[in-house]
Amino acid sequence: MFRMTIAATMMLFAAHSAVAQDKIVIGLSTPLTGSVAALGQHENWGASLAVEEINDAGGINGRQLHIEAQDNQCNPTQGITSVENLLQNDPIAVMGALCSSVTLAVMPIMERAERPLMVGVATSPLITEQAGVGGNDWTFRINPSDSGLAVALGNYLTEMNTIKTIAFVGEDTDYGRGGHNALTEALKGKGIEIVSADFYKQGTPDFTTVLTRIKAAKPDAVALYATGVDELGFIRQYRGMNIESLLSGRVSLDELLPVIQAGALEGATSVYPYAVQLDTPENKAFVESFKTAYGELPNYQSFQGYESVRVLADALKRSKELTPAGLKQALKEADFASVTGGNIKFDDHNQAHNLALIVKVKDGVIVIETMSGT
Amino acid sequence: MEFFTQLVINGLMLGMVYALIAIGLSLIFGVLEIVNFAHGHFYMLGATILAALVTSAGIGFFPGLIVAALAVGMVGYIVYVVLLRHFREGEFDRGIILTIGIGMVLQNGVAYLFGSSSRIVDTPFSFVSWDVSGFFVDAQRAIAVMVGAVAIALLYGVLTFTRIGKAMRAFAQNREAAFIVGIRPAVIAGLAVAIGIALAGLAGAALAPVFAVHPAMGAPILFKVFAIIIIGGLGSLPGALVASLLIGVTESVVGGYSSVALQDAVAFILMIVVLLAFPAGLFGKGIRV
Repeated sequence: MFRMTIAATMMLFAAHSAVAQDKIVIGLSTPLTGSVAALGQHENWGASLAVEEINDAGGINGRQLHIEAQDNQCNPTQGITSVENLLQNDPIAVMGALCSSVTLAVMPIMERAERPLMVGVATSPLITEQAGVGGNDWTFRINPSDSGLAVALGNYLTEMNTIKTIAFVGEDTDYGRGGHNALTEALKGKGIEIVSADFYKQGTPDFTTVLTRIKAAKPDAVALYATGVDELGFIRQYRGMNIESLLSGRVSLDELLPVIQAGALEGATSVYPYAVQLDTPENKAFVESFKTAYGELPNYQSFQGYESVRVLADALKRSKELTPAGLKQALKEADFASVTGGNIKFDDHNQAHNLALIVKVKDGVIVIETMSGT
Repeated sequence: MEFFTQLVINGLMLGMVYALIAIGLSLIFGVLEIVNFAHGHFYMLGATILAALVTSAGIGFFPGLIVAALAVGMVGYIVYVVLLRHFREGEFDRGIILTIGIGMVLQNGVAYLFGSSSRIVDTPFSFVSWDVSGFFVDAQRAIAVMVGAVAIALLYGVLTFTRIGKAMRAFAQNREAAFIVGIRPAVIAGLAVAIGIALAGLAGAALAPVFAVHPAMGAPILFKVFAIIIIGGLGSLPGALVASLLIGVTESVVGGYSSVALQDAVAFILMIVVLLAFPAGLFGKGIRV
């Protein structure tokens, strides 16, 4: 009996390692609990959809892809644990980590492990500064950084000609603070002044105080750099207080459809790397299959999860050997057609320059005003 | 001056919200001597239940409030019967670990059942505001404040005028003596826990249309409320009320004149200052430890 048990265990173990060898594992570190969990869930969904499509089309030279997701709670400490757990499963690359602060924390770990880190959502300019010739050659980013986005937004606000003062409100993280620096830099010499800057702690439910101050100061626009539930809470209270300043910044309008349809955000503008409304055949197909699979519209995070996997798969197919080093080399030579119609090509900082969209709420729907390079 | 008055009004409204949560926490501590680390998650549970009732089941906001508070109170009573009842005096640390665990189960259980996406609750009072002699008052928030005031007044009535309320206070003052005169601890403590937790649920339900509802919403408010009951004096209900209003107004004024980043620190700076001057809190009845 004892022998049989051992034999059975060994067989199971052998079967398990055979499966593990067959599949190419891609790690994903993203928040699956906490205040931005919904965004992490979307990134995971997007990535899983891409993996399914690639596997259905024959995988990577016959081998199947597999996504292994770990929760990082949008917290740098938890982020490090999540990546260390992922590395136990021998992933060819890790995607993540959605939040800028977490991404910056896990970059050195991936460098030490000598495996590519594919950044798709986090926008802090520091990530680009530190990647590629900046020192960390294993970090690649496909989404535009906040500097790129801020330049696009700054140009647009200047062209509007009605905005002279801006009140900045952002979360107290690398995202909010980085966004503030990038926007300050982008608005230099444009005749627009940032008159106040407030940084709130992530997870803050109540914004009455800062909104009361903004209501009294009457700036021409409010630049908001918030994420997840904080953003939703801020905008609800902003609307509740009948503030007349134009809402702008990095507002994820696609997360706010009910508020927009209620006519609450009329005229709000935002700079964003993605919009469901993008009129390309690839995007229409993506939106359709995403809706069928998950019953929700995709957002920026699901789009980037989807695109990250596709960029990795493209590089894996071209890679001479299926190793992290081979993948890194193939990524550096990438020239990939994005769903947005832009192009994914990495510069010497391993930063790709996809398009930035200026989106605007007009008559209760989101429209794309302009698209520009970053 | 107008700006200052507006900040004070905002602060008082915020303080009433804190009070509703803090009083329940203080009540449970007074009777059971357990610090309920799951309290914020019961607040979240109340908000989640109300969101489900109003958006999915189509029940009105006010009936939903009552159902949500009763349901959360019932969950609280079950938690008492199954888990908290077995504590003996002096097992303070076990209480902390256990209630942290209960909180994790609640948070992840709600995320599992309802998903982690945030939900918006719209009521006929959403985005309605009143202009009270030049000052801005948000209707939905004002309703939450009124609900809080009514609940606190009811609790005061129960504790002062009913036999069961008097038994609760007697039990909190001196366990052995209460036991000797025939007060049954299991009944009294169970009821106190259920009421305390129902108040947290009621607070969550009343605030669901004001804030975004999601599984992690209990954690940030919990720590602030801890600071509040420490400032007020552990176990003191008037202390919890006064400290809540104090923190609400201080936060609002500090945030209004300096930066939002400082706003969060205020509760804890105030806690340190109060503890230095009054080691048992403002209304504390001597040191327990």
